[in-house]
Amino acid sequence: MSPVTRDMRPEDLSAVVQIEAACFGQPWTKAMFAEELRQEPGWRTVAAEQQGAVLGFLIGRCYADEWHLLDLAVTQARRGEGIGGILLDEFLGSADRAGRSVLLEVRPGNAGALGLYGSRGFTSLALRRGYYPDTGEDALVMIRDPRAGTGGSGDRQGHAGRTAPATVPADVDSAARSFEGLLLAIESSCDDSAAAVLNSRGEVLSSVTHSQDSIHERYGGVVPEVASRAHVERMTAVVSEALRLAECNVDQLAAVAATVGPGLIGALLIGVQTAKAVAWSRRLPFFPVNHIHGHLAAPWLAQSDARFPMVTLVASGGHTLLIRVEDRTTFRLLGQTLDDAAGEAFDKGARLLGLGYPGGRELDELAEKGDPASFPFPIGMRRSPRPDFSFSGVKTALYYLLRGMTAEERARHAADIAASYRQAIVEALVSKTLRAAKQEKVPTVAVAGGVAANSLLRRRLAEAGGHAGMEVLIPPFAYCTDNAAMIGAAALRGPRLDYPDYLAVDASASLALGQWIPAKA
Amino acid sequence: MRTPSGVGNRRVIVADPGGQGFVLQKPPRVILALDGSTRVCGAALVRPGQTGTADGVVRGVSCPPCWETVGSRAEVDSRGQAKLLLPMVDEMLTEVGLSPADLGAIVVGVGPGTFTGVRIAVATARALSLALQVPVAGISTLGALAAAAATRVIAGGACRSGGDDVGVAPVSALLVPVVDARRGQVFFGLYEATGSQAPARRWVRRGAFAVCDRAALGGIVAAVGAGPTQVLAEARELIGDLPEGAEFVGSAVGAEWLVLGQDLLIEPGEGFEGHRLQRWLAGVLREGGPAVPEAVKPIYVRSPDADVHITKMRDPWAGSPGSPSSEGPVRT
Repeated sequence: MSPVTRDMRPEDLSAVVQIEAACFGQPWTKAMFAEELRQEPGWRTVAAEQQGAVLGFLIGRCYADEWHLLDLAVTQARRGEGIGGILLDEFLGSADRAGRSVLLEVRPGNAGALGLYGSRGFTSLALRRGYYPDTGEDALVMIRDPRAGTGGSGDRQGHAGRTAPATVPADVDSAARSFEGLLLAIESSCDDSAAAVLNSRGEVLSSVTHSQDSIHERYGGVVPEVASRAHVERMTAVVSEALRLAECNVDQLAAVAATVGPGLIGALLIGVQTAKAVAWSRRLPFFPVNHIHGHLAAPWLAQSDARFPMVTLVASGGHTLLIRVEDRTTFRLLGQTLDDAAGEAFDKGARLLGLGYPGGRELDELAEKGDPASFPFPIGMRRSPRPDFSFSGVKTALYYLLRGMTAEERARHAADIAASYRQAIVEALVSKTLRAAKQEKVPTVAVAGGVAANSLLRRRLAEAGGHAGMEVLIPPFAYCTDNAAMIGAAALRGPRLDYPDYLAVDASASLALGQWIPAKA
Repeated sequence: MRTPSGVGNRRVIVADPGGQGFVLQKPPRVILALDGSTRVCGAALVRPGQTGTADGVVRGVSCPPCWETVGSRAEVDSRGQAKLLLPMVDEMLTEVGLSPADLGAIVVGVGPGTFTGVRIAVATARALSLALQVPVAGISTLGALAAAAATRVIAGGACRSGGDDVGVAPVSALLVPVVDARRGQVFFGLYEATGSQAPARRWVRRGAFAVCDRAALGGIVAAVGAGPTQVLAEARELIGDLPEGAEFVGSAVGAEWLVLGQDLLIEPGEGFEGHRLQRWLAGVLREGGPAVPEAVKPIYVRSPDADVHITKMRDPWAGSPGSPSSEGPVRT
């Protein structure tokens, strides 16, 4: 029996206070609830009940012109079952019938809530500074117009198992609806300076990426200070080039987006500051984007009729993550690397083999000529049921193998070593991704990030995914490595900040999945 | 992209009521100055002032318009430039009733100073130049400290010269602006006075900006041997002992000095020559100018720390058994 909804009653009080206290750092007190439970006109309360137990509740205030969602909480043990959505849909159904828009405040870092509200058609309106007294955090103010949501009454889109939208334009939501014109997107989280121009329907008009590989080659890796210097040197030129290729003038921009994290802080700051300054100078709205959300957008940017939900492997020089992508705004981390990223393992392996930096591609080419069964390499976390990765073992094995060889032996076996090494890494990636996709019962697996360029990974994933009867999405190379088009695509689903709320937005080196805006320091 | 209709060339063409054709109406515009190179993050709005007045700036012979500060802001936070700079600029403009479209040019402090702070200011200035289609100029942060000090010296000299010995007050033959370089070091520049007549006096920079240990600065100043010297720094702790004739003058960077007082400096090298800046800005405000965001570059002085790794990366097996270069006993 699934939970049912009803009005809250005075006897719910103690259960409600308990749930509230477990959910919020700044919980309402019993007296506050008692006050609101007097069922005065102007209030709307909803409780979700199952076999006599209150599992969650919602409190809203109904003003004449708009409704205000004040409180929504679900008991700890029953999270993730859609109870919050059931409560919310009940409230939104009433609001729709009354023809009222609904306003709410949410912590920008509360990914679950942002996902839920996004799926119900809430869009970001503004940032309320220092709203939460416990942390001094800002609140994101979101609004939903009557009947604008996809989950108003009965039709629960945004849940697992729903049918996919046919095209991007048909499923335009949140930010996409909130401006007309062109979006400039900027990415600078690591060593690539990138800018792209998209229209408000998410079509990419231009995408320019300036790689710093040649600079970092001499350092054998990305040096943050060197990367930051290169970003500031070329960022405006990259933006100008993106505008030129899109055949548009800076006057035609209607919004600006930038990666605000995670990444190298000094590098991120250049993109964020450039984007904010462009937005400020023309009073445009600004869309902060999580770099990982950008990678997750690459598969559906490349294929607009992609079927959701999907499990996406994000594998690059900095990340190796397995993420369940419910829809274009709702993400859940399934597993990740416990040490090195997959791309790092490829690049470091290439360096040990004397292939230069960033030698992932060279290693891939060399491996094509070798026999992958020649040398045994450990496959990290093979026996663990968890969807996590580890690549330090295979890297260490390579180091000891090569250390025990003469230069002549290393040269003679290079292709076989590369093939065996690549095989071990790719097997770990493919097997964990497929296993997670099966466990999650999703119709689609996708891959994003620079490692998605690896030819064996592309082959093996397509093959194994095909066997399992899943659709496999492998975006073109240009959308796999860091680029700004994916940032723009993600921005169109994310929160919008209007002038002047974004002026003080900072970059964050460690933005968590689901977070769009760094919390205030 | 750089169309004449851009905000940067906001000339409104209106029909001349007298039937003489068209005239250009140019709204009065201001210059935005930004600096994030030190602990003090600053912004200022300046514009050409009335001749011979404004801020006690004594009118130099070769710098026709004097400049006035319309607004100025500074906040101390060595790590928060990204959070501070734009809110500060926005607040300042709003307060004087102006909007971004009223900015006619951007001048930015390009360091040397904290690398991240310099870059944030430069990235902001470049982006504004691009978006507003206005010219941008980079001025060294050390030059801003020197300009402020030079202006004070001239003003002081002028005051004292009410009697007989006009302009020969031997104060501050050498100005040494100093900015914290961390790790016990400082960035500095050496500006030596030229000419003895106060109105004609300028300070010319000797050599490039440099970095040295805090304790070594005194010796460098002594070696110049230029006479009375002002060492301009945020805090006394930044510099070690000074030679006789050199005094410490507490000075924080004010963004307005990226424009004001620049007429008193002669800067060799690639950057703006100091004394030409104001004339250039006046022309830009009058007639507009090309927006070239890439024209401003940070001055780092120090190279990134990464160079030490390079040799190791070349051959990861250098020195290990089997590598051609290894000759010693096999290591375990």
